[in-house]
Amino acid sequence: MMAKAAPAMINKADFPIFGIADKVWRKYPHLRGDCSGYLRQVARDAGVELPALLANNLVAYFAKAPGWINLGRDPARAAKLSAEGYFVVGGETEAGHGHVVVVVPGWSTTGHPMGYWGRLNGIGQTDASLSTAWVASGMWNNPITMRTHPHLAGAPSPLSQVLYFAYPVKALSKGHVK
Amino acid sequence: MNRKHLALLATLVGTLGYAPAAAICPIKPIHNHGPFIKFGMFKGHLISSDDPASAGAWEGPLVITQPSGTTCSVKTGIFDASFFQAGSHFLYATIYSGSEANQILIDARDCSVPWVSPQFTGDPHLTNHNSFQYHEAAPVKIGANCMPVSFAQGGRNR
Repeated sequence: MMAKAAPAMINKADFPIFGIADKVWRKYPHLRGDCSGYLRQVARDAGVELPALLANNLVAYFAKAPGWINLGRDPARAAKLSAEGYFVVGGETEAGHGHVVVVVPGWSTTGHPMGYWGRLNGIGQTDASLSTAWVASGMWNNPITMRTHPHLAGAPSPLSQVLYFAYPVKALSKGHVK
Repeated sequence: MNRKHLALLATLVGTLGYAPAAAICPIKPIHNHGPFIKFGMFKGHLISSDDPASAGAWEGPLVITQPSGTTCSVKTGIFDASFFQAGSHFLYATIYSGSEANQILIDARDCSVPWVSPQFTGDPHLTNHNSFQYHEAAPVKIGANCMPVSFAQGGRNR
């Protein structure tokens, strides 16, 4: 079980990433249905320029682009670095459409990182547990998910396969709120 | 019954509109439901350990309470807010992980899932009262028995 801070420890006003992600959510409603577009816009507003790539290719980009720290499949470190002012993202590649999210400081009550994301052709989530972005272990490998994802039968849950990456951004450090 | 009687019967059936092909399953979207949904004589509770009051996504399971008070549950992927009641005891729900979604048909009488759609993105849209349209997947027509037509006819999605 990963260590986590109590949710009450997070004061959103202390962390600029919340204000940036919320502003993008309000200002660009069409990006609520576009995970890579939403993430790129939040990155841009945080001072990080990203190429115009879709989710699968963004994950590949994060893995090799200069300045990005590959955190592997370590959600605890992702949440920690987000709270330290890094711009942190999570992503999972798929044969069809992959998915990417912006990780923000804090933990859900069940120990998952929190994030913001758009969802392709749907509506994403704001400051929500990543267990509502990808299926977590407790809900995986049941008879129905094995029918929806037969190619992943017996595989680890999608949430456990998310790769995290961090990029240092001075303007995102705690208390650096405009 | 002679030929004359048969012709008269056919005329009557046509006039009164009793042709079986005209029957459709009543499907209606369930709006603004939060974690509690009500459809027909059934109640559903969408569980989300991380955010019990969520209005947009639930980790599951979906616990269904039957008219008798007994419960059963559907354990699957993340539920989004798109639910449709079909007939008296069927529920079409949308589940997803990452960017990809599936629609599932739930029989509320026993929480069985007799049908799973192909993968799509976003949410399904009900058109013409009896067809679901999807982004990036072929539409599915719902038959008079409230089940997908291709499935009801022994289709592929089992």
